[in-house]
Amino acid sequence: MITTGTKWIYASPERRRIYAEEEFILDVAEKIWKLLDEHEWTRSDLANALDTSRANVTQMLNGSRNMTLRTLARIAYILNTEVYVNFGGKESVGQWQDVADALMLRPKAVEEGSIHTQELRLQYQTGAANVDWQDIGYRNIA
Amino acid sequence: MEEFYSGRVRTIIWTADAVDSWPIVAEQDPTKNQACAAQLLALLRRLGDFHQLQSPDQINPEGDKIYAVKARCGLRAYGWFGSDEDGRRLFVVSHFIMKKKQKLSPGDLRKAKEIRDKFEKD
Repeated sequence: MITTGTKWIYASPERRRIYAEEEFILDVAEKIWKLLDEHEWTRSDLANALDTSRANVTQMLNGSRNMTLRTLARIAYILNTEVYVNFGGKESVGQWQDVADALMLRPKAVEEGSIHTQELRLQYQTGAANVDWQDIGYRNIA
Repeated sequence: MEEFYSGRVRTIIWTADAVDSWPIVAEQDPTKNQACAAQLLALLRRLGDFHQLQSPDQINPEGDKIYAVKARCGLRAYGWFGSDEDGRRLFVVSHFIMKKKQKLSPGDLRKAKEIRDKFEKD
């Protein structure tokens, strides 16, 4: 069953893009918050270390202000760690994306990666457009 | 009731009130391209995948075990942590609102509690 929230995310390519941006910003911010917690730092401590205001740090972490790559690298340096960028994490998604888009599947279904494209297409052609990701995920005919 | 997201840690459930209120509040999102509404859904999904949200700004206990998950623009999801009869861990969203003020209004807390009572009876 495609739910209201999932439908909203997948309503258009633009909406999906915006959602992907927000998800990434949130992921980065949550990792920074975790680091701050581990170091027992407050956002004011981070603001001082970055020579900026507490409000600026708040806005960067809640996504209302863009954080530059330089700032991100500086935060990592200050907190004695490094940033690793990996564009390959969702590489397997690409080959399923067109079909998944047609089916309005949740990304999790696509990430499963155990689905043969023809099987998905077959299901689509036979009208199984509302099939849940779990139903599809275990029909591996590759 | 809808199962919005089945995450690694818990499942995110929307009550009927949440389903009904989502399109209304998403339309009230003041940000360009409804980015703030997208942020709230990303927060809810993250709550499904991780034990907790790290940011103290984005989840807040409102009393009586009701929590507010908060996007930056004032868009909020109220709900509670629980489990179902199969032992799955849940976060149940009672309803969404667009909040202008920082403090939770007594009406919203009451509404979340009423929805929880009804949900648990059903």
